[in-house]
Amino acid sequence: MRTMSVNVVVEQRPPGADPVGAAAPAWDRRRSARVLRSLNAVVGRILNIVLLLFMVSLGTFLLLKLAGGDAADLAGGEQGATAADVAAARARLGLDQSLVQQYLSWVGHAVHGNFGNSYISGLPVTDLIVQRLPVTVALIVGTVVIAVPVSIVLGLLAGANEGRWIDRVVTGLCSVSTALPTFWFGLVLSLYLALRAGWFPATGFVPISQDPVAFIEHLLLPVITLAVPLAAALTRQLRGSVAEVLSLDYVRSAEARGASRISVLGKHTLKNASIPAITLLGIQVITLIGGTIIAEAVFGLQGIGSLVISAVQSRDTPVIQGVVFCSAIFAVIVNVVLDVMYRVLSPRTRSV
Amino acid sequence: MTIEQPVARALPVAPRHFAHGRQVFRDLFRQVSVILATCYLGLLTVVSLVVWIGSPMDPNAQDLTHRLNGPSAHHLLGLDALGRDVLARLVHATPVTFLAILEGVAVAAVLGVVPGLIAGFRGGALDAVMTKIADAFIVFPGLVLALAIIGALGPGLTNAMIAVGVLLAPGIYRVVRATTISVRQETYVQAARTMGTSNAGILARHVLPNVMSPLLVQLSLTASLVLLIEASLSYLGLGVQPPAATFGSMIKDAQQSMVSQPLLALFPGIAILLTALSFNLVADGLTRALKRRGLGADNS
Repeated sequence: MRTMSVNVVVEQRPPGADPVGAAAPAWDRRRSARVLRSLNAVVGRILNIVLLLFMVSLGTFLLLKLAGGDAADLAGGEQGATAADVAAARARLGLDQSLVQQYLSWVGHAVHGNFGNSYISGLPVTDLIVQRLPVTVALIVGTVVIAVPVSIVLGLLAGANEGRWIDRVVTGLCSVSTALPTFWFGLVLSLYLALRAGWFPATGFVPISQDPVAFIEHLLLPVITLAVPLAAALTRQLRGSVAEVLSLDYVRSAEARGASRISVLGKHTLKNASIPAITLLGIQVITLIGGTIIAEAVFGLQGIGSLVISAVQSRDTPVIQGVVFCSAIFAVIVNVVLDVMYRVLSPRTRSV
Repeated sequence: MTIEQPVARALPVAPRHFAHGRQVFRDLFRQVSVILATCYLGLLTVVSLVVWIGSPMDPNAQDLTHRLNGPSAHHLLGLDALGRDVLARLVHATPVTFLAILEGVAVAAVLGVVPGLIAGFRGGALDAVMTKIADAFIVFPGLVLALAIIGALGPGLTNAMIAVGVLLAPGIYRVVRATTISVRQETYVQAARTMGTSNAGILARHVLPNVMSPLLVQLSLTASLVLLIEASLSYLGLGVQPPAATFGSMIKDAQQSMVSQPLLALFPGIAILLTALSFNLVADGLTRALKRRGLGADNS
């Protein structure tokens, strides 16, 4: 895309102008201004990301530190621990240093991918997270893969038939699904489809490399649990923007020119209606990390969610901090992907 | 001053939203969904008040011989795994749940409205910094943040509700800030300023009445979210602690005996679903009623 726009500029030069002569400096200046502007945008974005990660890490650090409840009491505090034992544990965990020192040493290690060791199991937090990552990633990917096509179909159907019965049914379903307590819906699914009917396993996880069929069987119910509220939110958004775009002049003129309904919906409507929906999808995918915590609890999956729950219950600060920080990194990645998608879908934003 | 008085009268009178209050109210309660939702929420409020004054039911009385029995004339919704009456437990969970919603919404409202007004009214660097913080909250997984706050404060219903309130405050902040900015640029506000009305006067007379309607919509949506997150946290054991119970923790208790008595998990789940749905329907209805009067709250 960049090179194309540069070519256009070259063609716009006055005919007959000497390529290396008088016209060249102005053209060079224009090009360098453009490069500088996009460089500025990239640097600004990176600064934003660094700022976000800094705010998140400092925020969680201070929150967990200032709340008190020293972990040394936990780590060194088994039966019969004396004050000296606790002090030794505190020194071992580096908790006797000043807050600034502790934070800086955490950042110094985190930059190298080391989030310290769990107070409870003593294992490196990074290993714990990496070990449990496949379950959480599988849940998130599976949920998006199911929810997005469903919401596109339902959103188009409802938006194109605004006010008719199918719209009312879809809108009603969306309202109910948004008010659905996720964990309860998951429990009901697991009770009737797994425990009663026996069609699916109620708990557990099988890696895809081991047995793809069992992998899908184990994931299907938790994924449906998470996909229903996501699909509802996306459908709502798409329905609204599809109905709005359909009433615009250029869509009506395309229809007047005899373009088929399908092509109008697919080519003109969906592409334009998808931009706000993608923004929402981004926010929802980030929120999904929270959803996986619940789905993991309901279906007994050993992912990041169950890791953080047990860490919160036992006040395992390094684990909480590591998970929060990794979630922030995930959020950043989702936002970068969103930016790229905007650029592909909407040429207007490309110059920004 | 006395000379300026007639000039002030001649200036266009600021349109005030609550002048439309009665019409909006009428439009709101012309919608069947809103009537049903309000009736349901009203019923829950009455139940809460009755329990608060003193209810005839005992949620902890045990009838071990009939435990896990289904609905009967004696126990309308059956008995749980410890032989306790499910209806009595639901009734007693209602005020706890409502109080939790109130706490969460109050925290979110205070943290959202005050900074939103200040940021929208003042603008400048303060606005930029606060908006940046709010954006950081929004691009961050909410439940993880709530867990971190609970991790710091320790489990418990009030702590959980503080966490939920912090989590949902940015949404309210955005709405309040956006409305304040749009009001600030209105001609009548500038006219009021030229007349020497103080900032506090402009806030009270012009900004607050305009912020009110989008804020009410947002608060209703927030109430529904607070309820759902509270239920999830209580289900995870990080919210309400026994023997107190909310709808969410009742589902957690019901999970163990779910296979032999599925109704146990069904009733509190439906209670949550209906309550959250009611708050959403009221918010939707209010948005629609405001839009009809051309007071469309632009919160998407």
